[in-house]
Amino acid sequence: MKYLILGASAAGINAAKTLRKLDKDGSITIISIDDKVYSRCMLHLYIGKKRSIDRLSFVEEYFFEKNNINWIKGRRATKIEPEKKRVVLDDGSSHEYDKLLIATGSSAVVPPVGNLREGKNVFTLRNLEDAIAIDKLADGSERAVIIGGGLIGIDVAVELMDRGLKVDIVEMGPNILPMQLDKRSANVYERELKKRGAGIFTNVLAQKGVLDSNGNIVEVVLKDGTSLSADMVIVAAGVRANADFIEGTNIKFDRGIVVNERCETDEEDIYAAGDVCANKPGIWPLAVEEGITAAYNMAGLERKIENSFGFKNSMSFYGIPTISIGNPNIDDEDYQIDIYDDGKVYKKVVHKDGIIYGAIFQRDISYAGVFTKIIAEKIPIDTIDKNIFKIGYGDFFNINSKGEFEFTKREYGLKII
Amino acid sequence: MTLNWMGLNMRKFKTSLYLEIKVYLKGKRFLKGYKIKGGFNMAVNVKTATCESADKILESFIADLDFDTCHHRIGTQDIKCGFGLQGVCCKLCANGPCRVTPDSPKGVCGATADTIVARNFLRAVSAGSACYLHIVEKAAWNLMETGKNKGNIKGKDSLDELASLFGIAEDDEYEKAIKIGERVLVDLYKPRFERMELVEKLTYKPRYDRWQELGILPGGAKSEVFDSLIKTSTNLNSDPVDMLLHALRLGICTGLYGLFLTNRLNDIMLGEPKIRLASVGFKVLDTDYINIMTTGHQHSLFAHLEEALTTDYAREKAREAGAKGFKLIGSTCVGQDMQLRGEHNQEVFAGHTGNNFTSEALIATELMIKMICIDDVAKKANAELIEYTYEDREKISSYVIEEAIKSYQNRRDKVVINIPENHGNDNTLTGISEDSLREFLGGSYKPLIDLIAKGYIKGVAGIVGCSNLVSGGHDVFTVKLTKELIKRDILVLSAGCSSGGLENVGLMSPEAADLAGGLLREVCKDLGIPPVLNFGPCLSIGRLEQVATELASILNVDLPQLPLVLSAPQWLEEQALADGAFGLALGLPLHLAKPPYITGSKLVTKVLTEDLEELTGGRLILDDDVVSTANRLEAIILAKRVALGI
Amino acid sequence: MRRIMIDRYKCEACLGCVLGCMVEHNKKGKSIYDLDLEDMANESRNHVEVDYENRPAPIICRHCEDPECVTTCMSGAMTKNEETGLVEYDKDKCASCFMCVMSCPYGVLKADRINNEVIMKCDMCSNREVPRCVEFCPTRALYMVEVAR
Repeated sequence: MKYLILGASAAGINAAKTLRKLDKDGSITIISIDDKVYSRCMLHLYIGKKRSIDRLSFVEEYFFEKNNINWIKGRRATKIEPEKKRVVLDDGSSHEYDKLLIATGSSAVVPPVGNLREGKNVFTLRNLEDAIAIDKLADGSERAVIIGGGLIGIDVAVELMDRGLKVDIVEMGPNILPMQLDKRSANVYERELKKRGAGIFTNVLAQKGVLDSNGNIVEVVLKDGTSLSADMVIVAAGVRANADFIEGTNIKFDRGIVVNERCETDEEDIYAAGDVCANKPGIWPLAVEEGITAAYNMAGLERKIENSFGFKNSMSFYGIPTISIGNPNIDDEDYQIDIYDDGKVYKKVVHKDGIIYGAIFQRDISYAGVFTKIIAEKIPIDTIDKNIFKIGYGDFFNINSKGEFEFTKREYGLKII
Repeated sequence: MTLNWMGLNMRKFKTSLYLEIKVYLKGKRFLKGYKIKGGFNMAVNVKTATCESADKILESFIADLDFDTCHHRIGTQDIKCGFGLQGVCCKLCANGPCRVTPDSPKGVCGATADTIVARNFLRAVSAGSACYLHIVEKAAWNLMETGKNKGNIKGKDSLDELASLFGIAEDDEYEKAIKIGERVLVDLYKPRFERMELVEKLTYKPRYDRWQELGILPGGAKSEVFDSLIKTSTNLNSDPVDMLLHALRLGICTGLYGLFLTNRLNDIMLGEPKIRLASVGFKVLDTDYINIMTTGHQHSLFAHLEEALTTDYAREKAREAGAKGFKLIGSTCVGQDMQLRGEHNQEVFAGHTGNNFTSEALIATELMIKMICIDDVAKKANAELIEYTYEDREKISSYVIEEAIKSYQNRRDKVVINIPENHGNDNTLTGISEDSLREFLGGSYKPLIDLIAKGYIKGVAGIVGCSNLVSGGHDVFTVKLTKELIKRDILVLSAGCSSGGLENVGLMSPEAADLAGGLLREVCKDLGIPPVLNFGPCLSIGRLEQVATELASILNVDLPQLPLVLSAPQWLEEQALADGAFGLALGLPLHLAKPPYITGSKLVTKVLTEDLEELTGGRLILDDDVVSTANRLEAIILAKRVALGI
Repeated sequence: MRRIMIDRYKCEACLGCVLGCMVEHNKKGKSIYDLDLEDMANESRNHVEVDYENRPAPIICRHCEDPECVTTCMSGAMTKNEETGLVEYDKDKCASCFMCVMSCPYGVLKADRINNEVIMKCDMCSNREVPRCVEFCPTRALYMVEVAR
C-alpha cells in the first residue's frame, strides 16, 4: 500500500505515525513545504528566544527513520490527478498514491486594509519562516503594532514585549481574546499587558498603514483616528485553507475541504485532516484527532471522529492560565450564569436546562477537562446536586474491568449503586 | 449506608483470608495483602502474620497461636494515616476533621499546623499525666486509710524519710502515714493559681530555681490537667509555645507526684525494694498452682490480696480445689512493682512474666479466664467490676479467691495449657531503687561517680518507656539500642515496660556483662551485676530522677550537666509522653524512635528538639535508627564529660 | 499493562493516596517524616473528589489506551509508551499550554500550584513495583491489576 501525505504538521505527522502503527509494511511518504517538523503553537517561543528551532519539534529524534517514512521537504503540491491517483509537485515531479491525505493546513490572511499587504515590515505568524523574520526585524525595532488581539496576536505581543519592544494591540472586539474570554477574564490579561507598557485598543479597526519611502509601514491609523507609530506590524486576523491544488478535482470546498466523520473527501481514496478542513476552528487537538482518524480509515480500519468539538482553548500568559470551553459569552436571559470570583481565581459556567454551553476557568484550571467533556457532549448535570464548580469526574465515576474510566450515558446523574 | 456496606465487605474479606490459611497452612497466616500466585499447590512464600520480637522464643510462640494478639493485629494496621503520624488532624469541632495539606494549610477555624499539633500533643500529655495522678491519688488515699485503720506499714524507713521531708512532726507512725497522705492530696486538689507546696521539697534546688525562672512551677496537679483540656478545646488557646510550656508543667506534676511519690507511698505500704535475683518470663508459671495475674499501675490496691493469699484459709481453699496454693503472676507495670518489692512477697509472687505485649499472649492462650476489675478507670468490657475500697478490701480479696478457685475448677479440664517453659530465666537482678543501689554501692553514690570519672563507665543512659510494635517490632529497638549502648561502656538503667523486655532477653542477668564494652564489663564482673540495671516499672523513672539528683548534688552541678541521657525508644502510651515531659523539664536529652505525632508542626518540632535546650536544658531527639541513635547519645555523653572536665 | 485499580466503595477519603504520592515525589526524601505538609512545592498527582452524595472517589491517571492528553499535546511532552503502556510526561519538552489539562475527560490533570508551569502527572512511581498511593491505601480501595491491551 502506498500512502501519500501532504503536510508535515499536527495532522500529517500524526497520520503518518498512526499509519506506521497500523501497517508495518506500507510505504509512507510525506511531502511538505516545511523542511522541519515544528509545532506552530510554539512559534512565538522562538520569537521570545525561549526555544531554539530544534526545541520547536513535537516529534522524537529520528522520527522519520524510526518509523520508516519517506519525507520530501521543501515541495508543494500543485495539482491532484485523482484518475491517475497521483499528485504533481511544484518541481514538476509526480507521486502516485493508493491513499492520499491532504493535511496542508492554512495560511494567515492579511486583510486588504490600506497598505497592509504592501508593507515590507508586515508579518503574520504561521510558519517558521515568519518567526525567523519577525525575530530578525525585532532586533532593530522599538515599536510593534499587532492587528488582532486573538491568541496568536497576544502570544506575539507578549514575546515582543519581552524583547523590549513597545507594543500596541488593536482588536475590533470589546476586549482582547474575544472568542475565548469574557470581559472579566480578558481584563486580567489586559492589565498584565498594560502594566508592562502595552497599548490596548479595543472596539476599533485598523484603517490604514502609512508607508515610508522604503516601503515600510511607520504608522498605523485606526478608524477612530488614533495613530500608532510602528517599526513592525504583525497581523493576526484570520486564516485561509491551503488547498489551491484541489482545483479540477471533485473535492468539495467551502472555506476548507469538506470531509465526513471518517475524514473522507468526495474523491475516492483522498482524505483530508487538520486546518485545511472546513467548518471548524483550527486547533491542534482536532488536527491530531483528524490525522489519526484519517490514518485508520486509510489503513482500512473503520474509525470516526469521536469528538469534533473545537470550541476549547487553553492559554497562559504571565503565569496566569485560562481555559475556555464552548461559548462563555452567551447573552440570553434563558441561560443561567454561575460565577466564582475571589478576586484572583475566576470561574464561569453558562448553562441552561441542565446542559452547560460555556465555561471559563482562570488561574485555577485544575481538573477542568471534565467540563470540556460535559460541554462537548452535552452531558446533563441537572441531577448533580452540588456546587457547579465542584463537579468532577467523581460525579460520573465508572471504572471498567480493564481499569479504564468511562462516562456511561445510562448513569449520568443516576445513583450508581 | 456506604459505611455499613463497606464495613461488611471488609469483614468478609478478612474472614475469607482467615479461612484459607486455617485450612491450608495450619495456624500460619499470610500478611494481609500478601500476594499469592497460582493457588496453594505450588511453592508459596509463607510469612507469619505476626510481627518480629526481640524475644525470639516469644515470637515463635505467638506466631503459632490460633487467635489474635496485638502481634497479629499490627499486620492489619500496617498502613498508617500520614496526617495522624504528623499530628495534623484536628477533630475538635464539627467542622472537622481538618487536615493540613499544602492545599489546605489551615483548619476551618484558622488553626495552623503548629496550633493543631500543639493542641493534640498537650491533650496527649495531659491524659498521660492524669493517669499517673490517678495512681498517686489512690495511693495517698490508701495510705491515709492504712494509717487510720492501723494497717500494715512495711516501709518504716520510707515513712520516716517522707515525714521528715514534709516536716511532719508526729511520733505515731499511723499519724505520720495519715499526714503524708493528706499533704499529697492537698497539693493534688489545689486550684491552678496556688502552687503545690511539696514541689520545692521534692526538687533539686538548681532545678527548682530554673523552673521558677521559666514560670513552669505547677499549680494543683489535677487543675493543671483540667486546664489543659480547656486550653486545647475548640477555639481556645492557639499559642503553641504556651501549650508546650503547659506540657512541661504537667511533666513536673507527673514526675514528682505520679512517679516519685507513688513509689514512696507504695514503699511505705508494701516495703522497700531489696536487690535480689529473680525468675522472669513465662517459665515462672507453675500449673500446680491457682494463678492470678495482676496488672495495672496500682500496687497498693493489691496489698491486701498479697497478704490474703498467704493465709492458712487461702492455702486450705486451694488445696481443697486440688492445687498446691495460690500464685500471683506478674505482668506489665504492677508485675514489675511486685518484682521490685519481691523481698516482701516471696511466698505468693511467682515472678514477672513480661510487659504489655508479652502477657497478652499468655492469658489469651487459655480461654475462659475470669477477669475482675477493681478500678473502673480500667473497666474492661468483658470483666466484672468490683470497685476497690479500703473498707471492703477483705471482702474483695475473699471474692477474688473464691472466683479464682471456681475458675480453676471449671476450666482446667477444658483448656489446653500451652506455656513455653524455656521462656525467661532465673537470674534477673531485681529490686534496684535509688536507696537499694546506694546501699549496694556502700551508702553513697560516690563510687559510681568515681567509675564514671575514671572512664570505666562512660556515662549513664536511662532506657525507659514501653514497648510498641512499630519500631522494628516488640522490644526490638529497645534491645538493640541497649546492646549498642553497653557495648560503648554506657551503663543502662531501665524503668518501664522496657525493663520487662530487657530482662526476658537476659540483659539484666549478670552474664550479660559479656555483652558490654571492655571497661564496663570489668566493672560488672567485679560487682557481679549486669550492665543493665532493672529499676522496675515506669513509675521508677521517679527513682532514676533521684539517682540523677544524687549524682548531681555530689558533683554540685545541675541535672543537664550530667553525662546522662534518656531514651524511651519504644514509647507507647500517652503516659509515656507525660513521663517524657518530665524528662524534658528535668533538662535531660530524651530520645524517641517514633515521633510523638508532632512533626507536622515545624514550630513544635523545633521548640522540642532545639530551642528547649536553652530553656530547661533538655531536648527531644527523634531517630529511628539504632546505630545513629547510639552515636548521638554517646556524643552527648562525651560532650558533657568534656564540659565537666572528666 | 499494569493499572492501579480503584474500588471507590472502599474509599474513605483518608487522602492516604494523596500523601503517598507526595511522599514519593518529595525531593527532600521518601519517608512520611520527610514530608512537609505545608510545602506548597510538593503536590500530589492524584486527588480525591466527593460526589453529589458525598461519596469519595479517588481520581488517579488511567494511562489511557487512547490518551487525550497525548493527542492534544503540541510539544511532544506527553507520550504513550507503547512498550509499558504508560503515558509519560517530559517536563523539559512541555510548553505549558495546558491543552492536556483542558482535554483530559476525567479531570486528572492540573498545573503545578506555584508557577503554573508543570503538569502534575502520574508516573506510576516509575521504579517502584507498587505505586506509593496503592501502598498507602488502608482500605485496599486501590490495588494493582494486569490488564490486556
